[in-house]
Formats: sequence, C-alpha cells, structure tokens
Amino acid sequence: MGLTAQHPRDELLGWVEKRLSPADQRRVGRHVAGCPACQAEAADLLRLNESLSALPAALRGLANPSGKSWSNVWARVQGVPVRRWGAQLNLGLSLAVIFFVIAAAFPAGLANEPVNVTVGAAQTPAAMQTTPAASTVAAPDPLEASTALAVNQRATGARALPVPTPIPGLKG
Amino acid sequence: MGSCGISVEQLSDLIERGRQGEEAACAALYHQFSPLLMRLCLGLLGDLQDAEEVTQDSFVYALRNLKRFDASRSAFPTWLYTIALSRCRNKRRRKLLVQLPLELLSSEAPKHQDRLVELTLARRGVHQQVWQALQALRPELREAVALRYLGQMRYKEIGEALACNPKTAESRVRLGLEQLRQALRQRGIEGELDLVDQWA
Repeated sequence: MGLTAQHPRDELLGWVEKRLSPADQRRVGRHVAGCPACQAEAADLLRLNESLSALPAALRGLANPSGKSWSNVWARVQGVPVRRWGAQLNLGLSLAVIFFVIAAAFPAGLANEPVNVTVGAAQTPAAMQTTPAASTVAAPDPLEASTALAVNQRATGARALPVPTPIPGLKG
Repeated sequence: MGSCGISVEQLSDLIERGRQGEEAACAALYHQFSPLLMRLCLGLLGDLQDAEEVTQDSFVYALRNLKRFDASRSAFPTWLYTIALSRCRNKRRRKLLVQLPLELLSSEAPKHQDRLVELTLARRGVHQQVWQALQALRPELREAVALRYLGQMRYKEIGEALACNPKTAESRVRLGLEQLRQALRQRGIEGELDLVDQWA
C-alpha cells in the first residue's frame, strides 16, 4: 500500500472542524504534522472554512426581507390577492389592444352596408399588382368581413387598415 | 435550534398558535426565520430580489401548511429549508430557460444587485471571489455548502433537507469545498484568503 492511500483525506474536513472522535483527532493530527501535502490541504480547508463561516454575519442586514414583506405574505396566506401594478398594467394594455383591433375591424357603418376592406402591406398600385394575396374583398356583412380580413391577414402577414381605401386602377 | 434565539418550547407554542391561524404567532415565526431563509436563498440564487421572492413564497406555503409539519420527523428550520430548496431549484430552472437565449445574444454585465452583494461582502471582510466561486458550484454541491455555512446546519440536518444520509451530506460539503479550493486556486487568489481572514 502506497503513501497516498494512507492520507486521511476523507477525514481532513472532520479534523479541521474538530468533529472526529478524540482518538481519530489525534491520529489524523499526527499524520498531518508529518505530511506536507495534508498540511497544505488542511490549511486550505481551514481558510475556506473560516471564510465561509463568516458569510452569515457578513450577509446580516443585507439578506433581510423588506419592510412590507410580512403584510404581503399574510395577505397571500389569507388568500387575498396582492395588488401587482405590473400585472394590472399588462391587463389594461391588452384590453386597449383588443379594443383597437375590434374598432379597426368594425368601422362605423360596417354593419349596414357592404364595404371594401383593403388588406395589404404595399400601398402603391404597382406594388399591389405584384402581390396577388393583397386584394380587395367585398364583404356582404360584418361577420364575413371579419372572416375575410382574418384570412387575408394570415395569408399576407399584413395588418388591416381601419379606413377602406379604394385603389385607383385596381379592379376587384 | 439555539442559534435562532428561541427555545424549543417557544417555537412549539408559536407553531401551535400558527396552526390555529393566529396572525401574531405567524408573524413571529416569519420575523424569526425569514432572515435565515433569505440568507440561504441568496446563497443559492445569488440575487437579492429572487431570494426575497422565494423566501416569501416559501413562507406562504409553510404557513398555509403548518398542519403538515411533523416535529418528530425534522426540526422546524429544516422543514422550512426543504421548502425553500425546492423553490430555489424551480427558480433557477426557470431563470436558466429565460437567460440562456439572452446570454447567447450578448454577454450581460453583472447586475447591480449582484455587485451590491459582492461589495457588501468585501467590505465585511469576505473576498468576493469566494462568493462567486460558491455561485459557480454544481447545484447539489452548492446546496450542501450553503446549508452547512449559510444555514449553519449539522450534517444530519443537511441530510434531512437533501433527502440523503449524513455521510453523503458530508461528502457533498467536502467535495464542494474541494471544488471551491480549486476554483480559487485557478483564479490565483489562494494567498489572498489570508488577508481576508485578517480583515474579518
């Protein structure tokens, strides 16, 4: 058996932390006293042990829950929803976007008469001619208008224009 | 747990009153243990805001489920740490999913709060490299080391929190220390630890 096998490496941490039985503490201590490799390792462990043991005191004050935290925790324990401004803002924005989309899809008068809903990314006649997917759809009623709009949007990736814009020179 | 500054009888009384829904008892438990829990979470997550969030989530769960706590199976702080550990793991997993694509796009500068922790530790005599090396440990080793040094737990308690036997818990702490030692050696600050100890 070589010298390496005799190094009490598994016991060094216990020795540094003084957790071994008195007999083992003495045995490992005797080995460390005569072994430079184990001395170096034990010294490192001791320094690390001391540095890490200093962490709780060093974090005191920094790692403290903020003043309002208990009221939040208790409200949640009681099942009261905690007011979250970020979530409310997101909800408000989402509602605004939905309202805008509906308002754009159903302009005034859409329900009463057929309308031309023009869909397309390009606005010039020349460009429109090169993009066959962008077309003018005659919609007899609002439901059909919105369906046609959705189909066109899916096909072209373009957004709807809120006001119908007849394009000169382009026939439906 | 002597280090918490509360006797076993007082703790049992608070838990019993907390089970009956008494707010004062629950508040006392929170104020007694939340700093310990937040310290552990900070060690595991490295971010003050995340640590506070997980601490609060853990307490909400613990206070809602106080009836499930069985004093014959584990100590109250160990039970709390187990709850927090699970939430820290989930938090890290979620953050990793979000952060990985961002890190691929750009190398992000250290966040202000991370710097705050490191600077505070440095002012109080702990080398920031030790903190950084702790954050870089493999999760299972970091958990064991954090429970040992930030949670100030015994190996038996660490074993209970990590669902392993005390010997395995000790092995993980030892391996964690070995990797910390190697990391610090690679960063070339091994000798500086002596200075740090003198400041402390």
